[in-house]
Amino acid sequence: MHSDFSPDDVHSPDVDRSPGDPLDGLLARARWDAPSPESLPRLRRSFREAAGKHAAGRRRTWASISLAAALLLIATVSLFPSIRDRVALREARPAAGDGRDPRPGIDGRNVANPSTPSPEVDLPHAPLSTSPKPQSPAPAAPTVTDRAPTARAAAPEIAAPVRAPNMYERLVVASIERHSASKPTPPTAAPTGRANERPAIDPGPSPVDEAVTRLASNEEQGVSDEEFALLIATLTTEREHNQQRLLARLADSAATDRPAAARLLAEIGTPASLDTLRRLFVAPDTRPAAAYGLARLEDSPRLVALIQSESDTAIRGMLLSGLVERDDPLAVAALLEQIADPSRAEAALAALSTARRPPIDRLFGVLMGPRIDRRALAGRALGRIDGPIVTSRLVALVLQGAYQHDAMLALVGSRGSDAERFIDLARHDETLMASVVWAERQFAVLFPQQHKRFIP
Amino acid sequence: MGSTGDWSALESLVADQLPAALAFAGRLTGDPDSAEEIVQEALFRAARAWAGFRGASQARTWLYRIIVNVFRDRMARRPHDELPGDLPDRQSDDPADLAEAADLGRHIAGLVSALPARQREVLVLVSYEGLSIEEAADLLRITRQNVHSNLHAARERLRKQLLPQRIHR
Repeated sequence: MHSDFSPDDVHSPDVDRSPGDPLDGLLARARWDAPSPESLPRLRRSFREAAGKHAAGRRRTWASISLAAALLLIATVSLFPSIRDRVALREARPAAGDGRDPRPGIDGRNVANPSTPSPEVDLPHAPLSTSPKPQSPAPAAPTVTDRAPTARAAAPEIAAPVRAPNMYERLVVASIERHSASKPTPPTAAPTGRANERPAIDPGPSPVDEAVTRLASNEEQGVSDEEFALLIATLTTEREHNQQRLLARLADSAATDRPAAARLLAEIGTPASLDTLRRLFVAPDTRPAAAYGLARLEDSPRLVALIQSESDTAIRGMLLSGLVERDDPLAVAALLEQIADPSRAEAALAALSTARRPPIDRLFGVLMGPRIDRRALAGRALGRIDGPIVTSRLVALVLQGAYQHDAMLALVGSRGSDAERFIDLARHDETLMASVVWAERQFAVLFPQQHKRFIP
Repeated sequence: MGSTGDWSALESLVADQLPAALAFAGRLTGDPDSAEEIVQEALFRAARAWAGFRGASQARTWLYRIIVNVFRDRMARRPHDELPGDLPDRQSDDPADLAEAADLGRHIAGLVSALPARQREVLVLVSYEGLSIEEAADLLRITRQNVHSNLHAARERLRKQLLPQRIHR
């Protein structure tokens, strides 16, 4: 569809043009894409709303001014007797002690020089100045690293009660000891003739084996997050070694504890484990665990391809959890594509809302980019991140008026309390109310299934 | 005009000029979506500024000036979107798409809309909106000489881009 503009004769002024210039013929053939049929009605509607709001705002402004003037008049009238008495009292006092000649008043009494302040007036002792009043330094804007002072910093140290180490702590200690024992010891200078008094360390069961067993035996009820974190911490002390042990275990396709081993490999594996993880991703029993590993290790193009082809919502959510941590253009583009799909948007947004390091700066770049469709999607993504830092950046954009619509769209979709407060304020602000209305309408059109205000 | 708070006059202006304003913004941006957004922002600004419009210039010129200002603001502040143009898509090798992309009219429009901002403004106003050099200078608040030089630069740039292609066609 093209613009109906057909400049058969492109207007060229008297410069840079010779008669029959072929360039004019070419310029006349230019065809721009026509706006969508909904554009004009949409613009007319939004203009009527904006004009209506401004007209109402102006009426309110005039009403406010009139009311203020009326109140001032009433106050003046009511205070007039008091002022009159005060002036009369001042006039009755002799203007003495200031070294100036008294001037006669209109009724023959002396009045003070009008240019001289009345002694009744308390003048400020400090000289008047137009320079700004010195202020104490403003508190620094909160940053990501701002943290409230913890009680621990001020509290005196209290000795922790001594307790016996639990199994996982013993695993950590054993792993460290084994790591120390595996280091080559420097040769002694001369034999002392004494036998090595240090007893040989029994390596005991492998931490990999213990961890796999522990996970496999608790497969149904699972282990707590703390326990799992400790297991992983144990295995990462010797990552390469433990990775090899896990790969060896997973090579046995008949083992019943493969899901547990796959889960651990997904956590501690390096890119050397990618081929194994890809194979595990195909097997139904190890697929969820492998998905987590691939989300962490797979390169962005392959991860994007996996996400696009994955129909299982849970698996896609795991893959997305890796995508939303990546600060690269392809990953962000794929994330926005997921958000654009109503059937997949919620999973993508949920993954984004729990991301530890979402690509905030890149999303703001898209929000301020040239593609209007992506700007709205980036706004949706930023709105879902809805942390105080993101909200403050969005609010700043709105107030600067630079990308007001897109930033307002993000704020309208945000679930954060700061964003909601701002929207409530903006709704009553003459300069922002039209933008709020527009953003809410756009949000309802673009993300009808996600509009929090439209969903009970 | 605007000082009287005559909103009906503004509504009439918008009703008359909106299609042309949208087309004008489309030629500036080369993208109908961006054009709509620019016009929308311009209408917001127009509604805000209407009370201060004294009718010193034509209402159409006033509205177009606001559009140009919105366009400039966006050009000045917009960082580059670094994302890939599109994700791999099986439809990208659709012969119909390729044929459309090769369409000469769109190609020329794309070149016009890719000119440097000032050159684009001048060329669109003079060549497509039919403004004289003086009117364009007044609307853009630049000198006539500046309009001349930008128009010359724009045409020479397009001449180099377009005329060699025509020889091969």
